[in-house]
Amino acid sequence: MGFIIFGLILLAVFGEPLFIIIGGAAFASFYFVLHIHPATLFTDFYRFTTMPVFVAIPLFIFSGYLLAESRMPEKMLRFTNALLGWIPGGLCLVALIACSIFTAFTGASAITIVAIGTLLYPAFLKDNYPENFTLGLITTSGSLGTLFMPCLPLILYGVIASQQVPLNVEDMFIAGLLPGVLLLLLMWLYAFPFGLKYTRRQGFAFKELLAATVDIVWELPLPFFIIGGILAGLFSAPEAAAVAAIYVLLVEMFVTRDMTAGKLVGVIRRSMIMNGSILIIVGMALGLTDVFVTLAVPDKIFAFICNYVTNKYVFLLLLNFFLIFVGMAMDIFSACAIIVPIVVPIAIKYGVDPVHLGIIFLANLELGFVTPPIGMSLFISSIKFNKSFPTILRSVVPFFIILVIGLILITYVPELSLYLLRFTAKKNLIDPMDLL
Amino acid sequence: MKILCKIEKIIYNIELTAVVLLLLSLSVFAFSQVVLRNFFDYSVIWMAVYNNMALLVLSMLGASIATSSFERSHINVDLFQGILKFPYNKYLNAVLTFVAGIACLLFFFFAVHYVGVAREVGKVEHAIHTPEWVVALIFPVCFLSMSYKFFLCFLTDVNDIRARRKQR
Repeated sequence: MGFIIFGLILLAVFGEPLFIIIGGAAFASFYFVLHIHPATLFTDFYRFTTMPVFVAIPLFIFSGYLLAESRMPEKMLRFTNALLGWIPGGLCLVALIACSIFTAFTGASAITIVAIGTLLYPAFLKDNYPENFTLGLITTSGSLGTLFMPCLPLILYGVIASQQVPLNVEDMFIAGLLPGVLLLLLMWLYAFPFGLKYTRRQGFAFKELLAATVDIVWELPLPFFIIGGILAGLFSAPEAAAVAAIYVLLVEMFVTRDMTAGKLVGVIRRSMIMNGSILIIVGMALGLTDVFVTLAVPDKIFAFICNYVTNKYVFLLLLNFFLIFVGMAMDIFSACAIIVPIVVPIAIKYGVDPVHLGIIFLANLELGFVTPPIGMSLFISSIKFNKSFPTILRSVVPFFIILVIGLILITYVPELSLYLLRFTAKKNLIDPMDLL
Repeated sequence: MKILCKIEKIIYNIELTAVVLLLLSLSVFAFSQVVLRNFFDYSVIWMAVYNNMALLVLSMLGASIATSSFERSHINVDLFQGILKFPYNKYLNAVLTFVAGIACLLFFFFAVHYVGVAREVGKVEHAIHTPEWVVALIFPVCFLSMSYKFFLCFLTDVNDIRARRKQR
């Protein structure tokens, strides 16, 4: 078995698709360790059909891709610029908010850097912002929306963690709001002096705001629908996803006509490739989780760690280091599928709230995207803006430090993640299982 | 090789058509459920069950489409692909796709066993009048399709190495 694990790790490092690695590990564990037929894994995989909350994943991916392929990025930038661009340093705020909203809907920092970053980059240079600052801001902002609903990693963490502890995806949505705003504010605080120095002296133009609002009038209600619906306890995550998918589809096809039938097939293809690539990993990981639970792997790891770490805060510190490394080396979806089933039971034994843990987990992975030397966003920015890798590396350092400060606050002030849940707990959010 | 690629294209088109139909039906049914629940306090069981089944089928089909030689979009760690230069990156690709093809073939055999067991158990999804094993057929079908596509990727990589060597 040790030989197989070593071989799988080697293959994973060299770039073998992760579903093969996780599936291989699960099948091998079933056969060689548990001595049962490897086909047992499909019993776990088939559990997809008994967990309606999973339906939220393809629907949110679909609506996110629809928005990304429409004129939404331009419209959103125009609107936020008209609304906030006149404030000193408004362009930085526009960038931070636009990137956050876009990542929240598409679930992918790469798409945000490509779609929004491409539009923002010339605007910053036109206003004479230093290139280094601009590159750093756009590269790090790409992953800022990870903590805002309905970002896909929030759903994935909720779904996977709920296999082991009672946890609602809606709780994750609400818990991410304050930490998400905190990261945004910290970035804004750092960017503000630059904004003051390089600000464009444009006044508030009501006509432009009106025109921009009219332009985006059909897309504008969407975040309010979702956030409001979930906060008010009107929608569960899958329901919000269904409403978002149909609403965006109808608006983009028949109202704004940004989407044609031919383009729609392309969007469905790309979004369902993304969905399939993620969910096949999750399906295989469900099997591996079954193996971990049967073999009490988290308990054994916990017992081992307890020999060296007994303090919750030291554990959280070590967890942060570990997760930043994971975030650097792995994409966020695979990290959720592989790491969450192991980390959640261990963290609970240290007295960490699973919802708080989820926010720490995702904040770390968000940071991992821009962590030198191999964070994914760094490579994407380097290619997209045609800049050398060291240039991008230097540009993100100050923003990286800001995000580390934010991460420390999120980790050691659990109230940031849990405070809002006090108000929503009374509202009896709809359990996705009710859908059956 | 041309025939193999044509077969892949046919499989790809069938899968893509199924994905488009499934996703649109899933969206419409899921939305209908929201409307029915919130405005009429009513729920259609078969729609909920259909959506859950469609999710599984969509996921497997999406994964299969991602394997196609002209997509190659599965999630991986990908540390070395950017660093290695020709022909080493192609050699590495060829080895990885060959191993993936073998693995998917194994997964296919396990999936066939699972479908056989599910058939013996005889559980039926009553809401959509479909036996569970019929839905579970998506596992062997997609793993076989993925295995085929991975082997085709392997052959494409080998051909690519040969062609570029000849050019040199």
